[in-house]
Amino acid sequence: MPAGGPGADHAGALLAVYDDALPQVYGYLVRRCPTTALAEDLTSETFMAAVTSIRRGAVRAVTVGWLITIARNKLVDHWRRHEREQRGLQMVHNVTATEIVDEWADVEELDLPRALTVLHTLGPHHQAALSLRYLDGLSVRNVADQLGRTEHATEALLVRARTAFRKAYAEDPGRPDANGGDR
Amino acid sequence: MTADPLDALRQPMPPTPVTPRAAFADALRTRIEAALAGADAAPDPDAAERDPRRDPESEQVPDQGPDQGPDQGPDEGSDDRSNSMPTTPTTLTTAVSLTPYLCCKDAAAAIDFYVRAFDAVEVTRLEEPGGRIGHAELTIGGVPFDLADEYPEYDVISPETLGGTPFSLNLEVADADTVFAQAVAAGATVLRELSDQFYGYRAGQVVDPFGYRWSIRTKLEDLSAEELDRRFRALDES
Repeated sequence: MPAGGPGADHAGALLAVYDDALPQVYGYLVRRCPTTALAEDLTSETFMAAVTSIRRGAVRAVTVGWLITIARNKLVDHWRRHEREQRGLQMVHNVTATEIVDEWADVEELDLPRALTVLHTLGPHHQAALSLRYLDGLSVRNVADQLGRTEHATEALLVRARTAFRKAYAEDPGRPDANGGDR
Repeated sequence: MTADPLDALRQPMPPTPVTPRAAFADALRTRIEAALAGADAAPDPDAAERDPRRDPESEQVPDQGPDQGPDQGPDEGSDDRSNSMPTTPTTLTTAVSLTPYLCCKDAAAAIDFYVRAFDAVEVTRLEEPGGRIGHAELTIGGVPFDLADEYPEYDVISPETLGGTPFSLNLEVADADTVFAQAVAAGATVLRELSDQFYGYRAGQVVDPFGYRWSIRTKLEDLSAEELDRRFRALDES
Protein backbone atom coordinates (compact mmCIF):
# COMPACT_ATOMS: atom_id res chain seq x y z
CA MET A 1 0.00 0.00 0.00
CA PRO A 2 1.50 3.38 -0.91
CA ALA A 3 2.15 5.15 2.37
CA GLY A 4 0.18 8.35 2.05
CA GLY A 5 0.47 8.72 -1.73
CA PRO A 6 -2.23 10.62 -3.57
CA GLY A 7 -4.32 7.50 -4.08
CA ALA A 8 -3.73 6.00 -0.64
CA ASP A 9 -7.17 6.83 0.78
CA HIS A 10 -8.95 5.54 -2.28
CA ALA A 11 -6.76 2.43 -2.34
CA GLY A 12 -7.99 1.64 1.15
CA ALA A 13 -11.52 2.48 0.09
CA LEU A 14 -11.38 0.07 -2.84
CA LEU A 15 -10.32 -2.79 -0.60
CA ALA A 16 -12.93 -1.79 1.95
CA VAL A 17 -15.79 -1.95 -0.56
CA TYR A 18 -14.40 -4.96 -2.40
CA ASP A 19 -16.50 -7.64 -0.67
CA ASP A 20 -19.63 -5.59 -1.17
CA ALA A 21 -18.89 -4.32 -4.66
CA LEU A 22 -17.57 -7.52 -6.22
CA PRO A 23 -20.91 -9.40 -6.31
CA GLN A 24 -22.60 -6.33 -7.79
CA VAL A 25 -19.98 -5.77 -10.48
CA TYR A 26 -19.95 -9.49 -11.23
CA GLY A 27 -23.75 -9.59 -11.10
CA TYR A 28 -23.89 -6.76 -13.63
CA LEU A 29 -21.46 -8.46 -16.00
CA VAL A 30 -22.61 -12.06 -15.67
CA ARG A 31 -26.08 -11.19 -17.02
CA ARG A 32 -24.53 -9.49 -20.02
CA CYS A 33 -21.93 -12.12 -20.90
CA PRO A 34 -22.47 -15.51 -22.55
CA THR A 35 -20.04 -17.29 -20.23
CA THR A 36 -19.00 -16.95 -16.62
CA ALA A 37 -15.37 -17.07 -17.78
CA LEU A 38 -15.89 -13.88 -19.75
CA ALA A 39 -17.74 -12.27 -16.85
CA GLU A 40 -14.80 -13.10 -14.59
CA ASP A 41 -12.30 -11.65 -17.05
CA LEU A 42 -14.25 -8.43 -17.42
CA THR A 43 -14.72 -8.24 -13.63
CA SER A 44 -10.94 -8.48 -13.24
CA GLU A 45 -10.41 -5.84 -15.93
CA THR A 46 -12.89 -3.57 -14.17
CA PHE A 47 -11.16 -3.73 -10.81
CA MET A 48 -7.66 -3.49 -12.30
CA ALA A 49 -8.74 -0.39 -14.25
CA ALA A 50 -10.09 1.02 -10.98
CA VAL A 51 -6.70 0.37 -9.40
CA THR A 52 -4.97 2.15 -12.26
CA SER A 53 -7.25 5.18 -11.93
CA ILE A 54 -6.70 5.28 -8.18
CA ARG A 55 -2.94 5.10 -8.57
CA ARG A 56 -3.15 7.89 -11.11
CA GLY A 57 -4.83 9.95 -8.38
CA ALA A 58 -7.81 10.71 -10.60
CA VAL A 59 -10.64 9.30 -8.53
CA ARG A 60 -13.18 11.39 -6.68
CA ALA A 61 -14.93 8.63 -4.77
CA VAL A 62 -14.80 4.86 -4.83
CA THR A 63 -18.42 3.78 -5.26
CA VAL A 64 -20.24 0.84 -6.74
CA GLY A 65 -21.76 3.20 -9.32
CA TRP A 66 -18.30 4.22 -10.47
CA LEU A 67 -17.23 0.57 -10.71
CA ILE A 68 -20.35 -0.29 -12.71
CA THR A 69 -19.54 2.53 -15.12
CA ILE A 70 -16.07 1.06 -15.63
CA ALA A 71 -17.64 -2.39 -16.03
CA ARG A 72 -19.95 -1.02 -18.74
CA ASN A 73 -16.95 0.47 -20.55
CA LYS A 74 -15.11 -2.84 -20.35
CA LEU A 75 -18.18 -4.58 -21.75
CA VAL A 76 -18.40 -2.11 -24.63
CA ASP A 77 -14.67 -2.56 -25.26
CA HIS A 78 -15.22 -6.32 -25.32
CA TRP A 79 -18.08 -6.04 -27.83
CA ARG A 80 -15.91 -3.77 -29.99
CA ARG A 81 -13.05 -6.28 -29.97
CA HIS A 82 -15.45 -9.11 -30.61
CA GLU A 83 -17.08 -7.17 -33.42
CA ARG A 84 -13.74 -6.58 -35.12
CA GLU A 85 -12.92 -10.26 -34.86
CA GLN A 86 -16.28 -11.30 -36.21
CA ARG A 87 -16.61 -8.73 -38.95
CA GLY A 88 -16.34 -11.33 -41.67
CA LEU A 89 -18.96 -13.49 -40.03
CA GLN A 90 -21.37 -10.63 -39.66
CA MET A 91 -21.31 -9.91 -43.35
CA VAL A 92 -23.11 -13.19 -43.76
CA HIS A 93 -25.49 -12.82 -40.87
CA ASN A 94 -26.36 -9.17 -41.20
CA VAL A 95 -30.04 -8.61 -41.62
CA THR A 96 -30.69 -6.82 -44.86
CA ALA A 97 -33.07 -3.92 -45.08
CA THR A 98 -35.83 -5.87 -46.79
CA GLU A 99 -35.98 -8.40 -43.99
CA ILE A 100 -36.54 -5.91 -41.22
CA VAL A 101 -39.60 -6.73 -39.17
CA ASP A 102 -40.16 -4.86 -35.95
CA GLU A 103 -43.57 -6.30 -35.24
CA TRP A 104 -44.09 -7.93 -31.89
CA ALA A 105 -47.81 -8.54 -31.84
CA ASP A 106 -47.37 -12.30 -32.00
CA VAL A 107 -44.67 -12.40 -29.32
CA GLU A 108 -45.88 -13.43 -25.92
CA GLU A 109 -44.18 -12.11 -22.80
CA LEU A 110 -40.44 -12.71 -23.08
CA ASP A 111 -38.97 -15.48 -20.98
CA LEU A 112 -36.02 -13.70 -19.37
CA PRO A 113 -33.45 -16.52 -19.04
CA ARG A 114 -34.22 -17.66 -22.58
CA ALA A 115 -34.14 -14.08 -23.86
CA LEU A 116 -30.69 -13.53 -22.33
CA THR A 117 -29.42 -16.78 -23.83
CA VAL A 118 -30.71 -15.72 -27.23
CA LEU A 119 -29.27 -12.23 -26.80
CA HIS A 120 -25.83 -13.69 -26.22
CA THR A 121 -25.94 -15.55 -29.53
CA LEU A 122 -26.38 -12.33 -31.52
CA GLY A 123 -23.58 -10.42 -33.18
CA PRO A 124 -21.60 -8.25 -30.77
CA HIS A 125 -22.95 -4.95 -32.15
CA HIS A 126 -26.51 -6.18 -31.69
CA GLN A 127 -25.73 -7.47 -28.19
CA ALA A 128 -24.18 -4.13 -27.35
CA ALA A 129 -27.13 -2.08 -28.58
CA LEU A 130 -29.81 -4.23 -26.97
CA SER A 131 -27.97 -4.69 -23.67
CA LEU A 132 -27.33 -0.99 -23.22
CA ARG A 133 -30.81 0.03 -24.35
CA TYR A 134 -32.92 -2.60 -22.62
CA LEU A 135 -30.93 -4.32 -19.86
CA ASP A 136 -29.28 -1.08 -18.72
CA GLY A 137 -32.25 1.04 -19.74
CA LEU A 138 -30.10 3.77 -21.27
CA SER A 139 -31.64 6.38 -23.52
CA VAL A 140 -30.88 6.12 -27.24
CA ARG A 141 -28.62 9.13 -26.86
CA ASN A 142 -26.64 7.44 -24.08
CA VAL A 143 -26.39 4.23 -26.08
CA ALA A 144 -25.08 6.29 -29.01
CA ASP A 145 -22.48 7.92 -26.75
CA GLN A 146 -21.35 4.55 -25.43
CA LEU A 147 -21.00 3.08 -28.90
CA GLY A 148 -19.46 6.18 -30.46
CA ARG A 149 -22.24 6.40 -33.03
CA THR A 150 -24.67 9.11 -33.96
CA GLU A 151 -28.15 8.95 -32.48
CA HIS A 152 -29.58 8.35 -35.92
CA ALA A 153 -27.19 5.46 -36.62
CA THR A 154 -28.01 4.04 -33.20
CA GLU A 155 -31.75 4.14 -33.91
CA ALA A 156 -31.09 2.20 -37.10
CA LEU A 157 -28.81 -0.24 -35.32
CA LEU A 158 -31.47 -0.82 -32.66
CA VAL A 159 -34.07 -1.61 -35.30
CA ARG A 160 -31.74 -4.14 -36.91
CA ALA A 161 -30.79 -5.56 -33.53
CA ARG A 162 -34.44 -5.93 -32.51
CA THR A 163 -35.14 -7.74 -35.75
CA ALA A 164 -32.19 -10.05 -35.26
CA PHE A 165 -33.25 -10.72 -31.70
CA ARG A 166 -36.86 -11.35 -32.64
CA LYS A 167 -35.78 -13.80 -35.34
CA ALA A 168 -33.31 -15.62 -33.07
CA TYR A 169 -35.84 -15.77 -30.24
CA ALA A 170 -38.44 -17.29 -32.55
CA GLU A 171 -35.92 -19.83 -33.85
CA ASP A 172 -34.28 -20.55 -30.49
CA PRO A 173 -34.02 -24.33 -30.11
CA GLY A 174 -34.44 -23.82 -26.37
CA ARG A 175 -38.01 -22.62 -26.72
CA PRO A 176 -40.40 -24.77 -24.69
CA ASP A 177 -42.34 -26.20 -27.62
CA ALA A 178 -39.12 -27.22 -29.36
CA ASN A 179 -37.71 -29.54 -26.73
CA GLY A 180 -40.47 -30.06 -24.23
CA GLY A 181 -39.41 -27.16 -22.06
CA ASP A 182 -36.63 -29.04 -20.30
CA ARG A 183 -34.82 -25.85 -19.61
CA MET B 1 -48.60 2.31 -28.39
CA THR B 2 -48.39 -1.02 -26.67
CA ALA B 3 -45.64 -1.88 -24.22
CA ASP B 4 -42.37 -2.93 -25.78
CA PRO B 5 -41.76 -6.64 -25.06
CA LEU B 6 -38.04 -5.93 -24.83
CA ASP B 7 -38.69 -3.79 -21.76
CA ALA B 8 -38.96 -7.11 -19.93
CA LEU B 9 -35.18 -7.37 -20.27
CA ARG B 10 -34.66 -4.42 -17.95
CA GLN B 11 -32.26 -5.22 -15.11
CA PRO B 12 -32.25 -3.45 -11.75
CA MET B 13 -29.62 -0.85 -10.91
CA PRO B 14 -27.65 -1.24 -8.72
CA PRO B 15 -27.37 -4.78 -10.04
CA THR B 16 -28.67 -7.73 -8.10
CA PRO B 17 -25.52 -9.23 -6.57
CA VAL B 18 -24.26 -12.57 -7.83
CA THR B 19 -21.54 -14.21 -5.78
CA PRO B 20 -18.64 -15.25 -7.99
CA ARG B 21 -16.50 -18.33 -7.36
CA ALA B 22 -14.61 -17.96 -4.08
CA ALA B 23 -11.30 -18.83 -5.73
CA PHE B 24 -11.85 -16.10 -8.31
CA ALA B 25 -12.83 -13.54 -5.67
CA ASP B 26 -9.75 -14.35 -3.58
CA ALA B 27 -7.37 -14.29 -6.54
CA LEU B 28 -8.73 -10.95 -7.73
CA ARG B 29 -8.41 -9.43 -4.27
CA THR B 30 -4.79 -10.57 -4.16
CA ARG B 31 -4.17 -9.02 -7.59
CA ILE B 32 -5.76 -5.75 -6.49
CA GLU B 33 -3.70 -5.64 -3.31
CA ALA B 34 -0.51 -6.32 -5.24
CA ALA B 35 -1.31 -3.70 -7.85
CA LEU B 36 -2.25 -1.10 -5.25
CA ALA B 37 0.98 -1.81 -3.39
CA GLY B 38 3.12 -1.49 -6.52
CA ALA B 39 5.97 0.86 -5.77
CA ASP B 40 6.19 3.08 -8.85
CA ALA B 41 2.89 4.46 -9.96
CA ALA B 42 2.72 3.71 -13.66
CA PRO B 43 0.66 6.02 -15.84
CA ASP B 44 -2.74 4.65 -16.71
CA PRO B 45 -2.10 2.63 -19.83
CA ASP B 46 -5.83 2.53 -20.44
CA ALA B 47 -6.19 6.26 -20.54
CA ALA B 48 -4.09 6.80 -23.62
CA GLU B 49 -6.12 4.38 -25.68
CA ARG B 50 -9.46 5.31 -24.38
CA ASP B 51 -11.92 7.60 -25.98
CA PRO B 52 -11.85 10.53 -23.57
CA ARG B 53 -15.62 10.74 -23.66
CA ARG B 54 -15.71 7.34 -22.06
CA ASP B 55 -13.27 7.96 -19.26
CA PRO B 56 -14.95 6.49 -16.20
CA GLU B 57 -14.16 9.50 -14.06
CA SER B 58 -15.69 12.01 -16.40
CA GLU B 59 -18.74 9.98 -17.08
CA GLN B 60 -22.20 10.24 -15.66
CA VAL B 61 -23.76 7.01 -14.55
CA PRO B 62 -27.08 7.15 -16.36
CA ASP B 63 -28.43 4.30 -14.30
CA GLN B 64 -31.86 5.79 -13.87
CA GLY B 65 -32.74 5.53 -17.54
CA PRO B 66 -34.89 8.64 -17.49
CA ASP B 67 -36.85 7.70 -20.57
CA GLN B 68 -37.78 4.33 -19.21
CA GLY B 69 -40.42 3.33 -16.76
CA PRO B 70 -39.71 2.67 -13.10
CA ASP B 71 -36.97 0.28 -12.18
CA GLN B 72 -38.67 -3.04 -11.96
CA GLY B 73 -36.85 -5.35 -14.31
CA PRO B 74 -37.56 -8.96 -13.49
CA ASP B 75 -34.51 -10.87 -12.48
CA GLU B 76 -35.54 -14.48 -12.14
CA GLY B 77 -33.38 -17.14 -13.63
CA SER B 78 -30.27 -15.07 -14.00
CA ASP B 79 -28.57 -16.82 -11.09
CA ASP B 80 -28.48 -20.11 -12.93
CA ARG B 81 -25.76 -19.56 -15.46
CA SER B 82 -26.06 -23.03 -16.91
CA ASN B 83 -29.23 -21.81 -18.57
CA SER B 84 -27.36 -19.02 -20.22
CA MET B 85 -24.50 -21.00 -21.65
CA PRO B 86 -24.30 -20.72 -25.40
CA THR B 87 -25.71 -23.72 -27.15
CA THR B 88 -24.65 -23.25 -30.76
CA PRO B 89 -21.35 -24.70 -31.98
CA THR B 90 -20.25 -21.23 -33.01
CA THR B 91 -20.44 -19.79 -29.54
CA LEU B 92 -19.14 -22.94 -27.85
CA THR B 93 -15.95 -22.66 -29.83
CA THR B 94 -15.61 -18.93 -29.33
CA ALA B 95 -12.43 -18.46 -27.31
CA VAL B 96 -12.53 -16.07 -24.39
CA SER B 97 -8.92 -15.02 -24.73
CA LEU B 98 -5.62 -16.00 -26.30
CA THR B 99 -2.61 -14.72 -24.40
CA PRO B 100 0.95 -14.57 -25.73
CA TYR B 101 3.40 -16.21 -23.35
CA LEU B 102 6.88 -14.89 -24.03
CA CYS B 103 10.04 -16.64 -22.97
CA CYS B 104 12.88 -14.18 -22.49
CA LYS B 105 16.51 -14.65 -21.63
CA ASP B 106 16.71 -12.45 -18.51
CA ALA B 107 13.00 -12.02 -17.88
CA ALA B 108 13.58 -9.33 -15.27
CA ALA B 109 15.34 -7.15 -17.83
CA ALA B 110 12.57 -7.92 -20.31
CA ILE B 111 9.91 -6.75 -17.88
CA ASP B 112 11.88 -3.58 -17.33
CA PHE B 113 12.10 -3.09 -21.09
CA TYR B 114 8.38 -3.63 -21.71
CA VAL B 115 7.55 -1.16 -18.96
CA ARG B 116 9.75 1.48 -20.58
CA ALA B 117 8.86 0.64 -24.17
CA PHE B 118 5.12 0.08 -23.91
CA ASP B 119 4.10 1.44 -20.50
CA ALA B 120 3.47 -2.16 -19.53
CA VAL B 121 2.17 -2.72 -16.03
CA GLU B 122 3.52 -5.64 -14.05
CA VAL B 123 0.61 -7.50 -12.51
CA THR B 124 2.23 -10.69 -11.22
CA ARG B 125 5.80 -11.92 -10.77
CA LEU B 126 6.65 -15.37 -9.44
CA GLU B 127 10.36 -15.46 -8.78
CA GLU B 128 12.42 -18.43 -7.67
CA PRO B 129 14.82 -17.93 -4.77
CA GLY B 130 17.66 -17.96 -7.32
CA GLY B 131 16.08 -15.05 -9.16
CA ARG B 132 14.70 -16.96 -12.11
CA ILE B 133 11.22 -15.72 -13.03
CA GLY B 134 8.92 -18.69 -13.41
CA HIS B 135 5.93 -16.65 -14.42
CA ALA B 136 5.04 -13.01 -14.80
CA GLU B 137 1.90 -11.30 -16.03
CA LEU B 138 1.91 -7.86 -17.58
CA THR B 139 -0.63 -5.68 -19.28
CA ILE B 140 -0.22 -3.09 -21.98
CA GLY B 141 -3.15 -0.73 -22.05
CA GLY B 142 -5.08 -3.30 -20.04
CA VAL B 143 -4.34 -6.09 -22.52
CA PRO B 144 -2.51 -9.00 -20.88
CA PHE B 145 0.54 -11.00 -21.86
CA ASP B 146 2.67 -13.42 -19.86
CA LEU B 147 6.37 -13.89 -19.65
CA ALA B 148 8.96 -16.20 -18.07
CA ASP B 149 12.67 -16.86 -18.02
CA GLU B 150 14.15 -19.68 -20.04
CA TYR B 151 13.48 -23.15 -18.67
CA PRO B 152 15.55 -25.37 -20.97
CA GLU B 153 14.64 -28.38 -18.82
CA TYR B 154 11.04 -27.88 -20.02
CA ASP B 155 12.01 -26.87 -23.56
CA VAL B 156 11.02 -23.30 -22.75
CA ILE B 157 13.55 -21.41 -24.85
CA SER B 158 13.81 -17.79 -25.90
CA PRO B 159 14.17 -16.35 -29.42
CA GLU B 160 17.69 -15.33 -28.47
CA THR B 161 18.66 -18.97 -27.95
CA LEU B 162 16.66 -20.13 -30.96
CA GLY B 163 18.14 -17.44 -33.16
CA GLY B 164 14.85 -15.94 -34.28
CA THR B 165 11.13 -15.84 -33.75
CA PRO B 166 8.48 -17.33 -36.01
CA PHE B 167 5.72 -14.90 -35.07
CA SER B 168 4.93 -11.24 -34.49
CA LEU B 169 3.02 -9.53 -31.77
CA ASN B 170 0.51 -7.07 -33.20
CA LEU B 171 0.16 -4.21 -30.76
CA GLU B 172 -2.70 -1.92 -31.68
CA VAL B 173 -2.57 1.38 -29.84
CA ALA B 174 -4.21 4.77 -30.09
CA ASP B 175 -1.02 6.50 -31.20
CA ALA B 176 1.43 4.23 -33.00
CA ASP B 177 3.93 7.03 -33.64
CA THR B 178 4.41 7.78 -29.95
CA VAL B 179 4.61 4.12 -28.93
CA PHE B 180 6.95 3.29 -31.81
CA ALA B 181 9.31 6.11 -30.84
CA GLN B 182 9.15 5.11 -27.18
CA ALA B 183 9.94 1.48 -28.00
CA VAL B 184 12.94 2.49 -30.09
CA ALA B 185 14.13 4.86 -27.38
CA ALA B 186 13.89 1.98 -24.90
CA GLY B 187 16.16 -0.18 -27.05
CA ALA B 188 14.04 -1.81 -29.76
CA THR B 189 15.50 -2.06 -33.26
CA VAL B 190 13.51 -0.76 -36.22
CA LEU B 191 12.68 -3.41 -38.80
CA ARG B 192 10.20 -1.34 -40.80
CA GLU B 193 9.43 2.30 -40.22
CA LEU B 194 5.84 3.32 -39.63
CA SER B 195 3.76 3.90 -42.71
CA ASP B 196 0.11 3.81 -43.73
CA GLN B 197 -0.80 0.31 -44.85
CA PHE B 198 -3.37 -0.87 -47.37
CA TYR B 199 -5.17 -2.86 -44.67
CA GLY B 200 -6.30 0.29 -42.90
CA TYR B 201 -3.60 0.66 -40.29
CA ARG B 202 -0.58 2.85 -39.80
CA ALA B 203 1.98 0.23 -38.79
CA GLY B 204 5.67 -0.37 -38.32
CA GLN B 205 7.82 -3.19 -37.00
CA VAL B 206 10.51 -3.38 -34.38
CA VAL B 207 12.37 -6.26 -32.81
CA ASP B 208 12.88 -5.95 -29.08
CA PRO B 209 16.18 -6.72 -27.31
CA PHE B 210 14.84 -10.15 -26.41
CA GLY B 211 14.16 -11.19 -29.96
CA TYR B 212 10.42 -10.60 -30.27
CA ARG B 213 9.01 -8.83 -33.29
CA TRP B 214 6.30 -6.26 -32.62
CA SER B 215 4.05 -4.70 -35.19
CA ILE B 216 2.94 -1.42 -33.66
CA ARG B 217 -0.19 -0.08 -35.27
CA THR B 218 -3.06 2.33 -35.13
CA LYS B 219 -6.26 1.81 -37.03
CA LEU B 220 -6.90 4.46 -39.65
CA GLU B 221 -10.11 3.23 -41.21
CA ASP B 222 -12.67 0.47 -40.94
CA LEU B 223 -12.59 -1.73 -44.02
CA SER B 224 -15.20 -4.19 -45.12
CA ALA B 225 -13.95 -7.65 -46.01
CA GLU B 226 -14.68 -6.87 -49.68
CA GLU B 227 -12.69 -3.64 -49.63
CA LEU B 228 -9.79 -5.34 -47.88
CA ASP B 229 -9.82 -8.11 -50.43
CA ARG B 230 -10.03 -5.61 -53.32
CA ARG B 231 -7.00 -3.71 -52.01
CA PHE B 232 -5.08 -6.89 -51.41
CA ARG B 233 -5.64 -7.97 -55.02
CA ALA B 234 -4.73 -4.51 -56.25
CA LEU B 235 -1.30 -4.95 -54.66
CA ASP B 236 -0.59 -7.77 -57.10
CA GLU B 237 -1.67 -5.71 -60.05
CA SER B 238 0.43 -2.71 -59.21
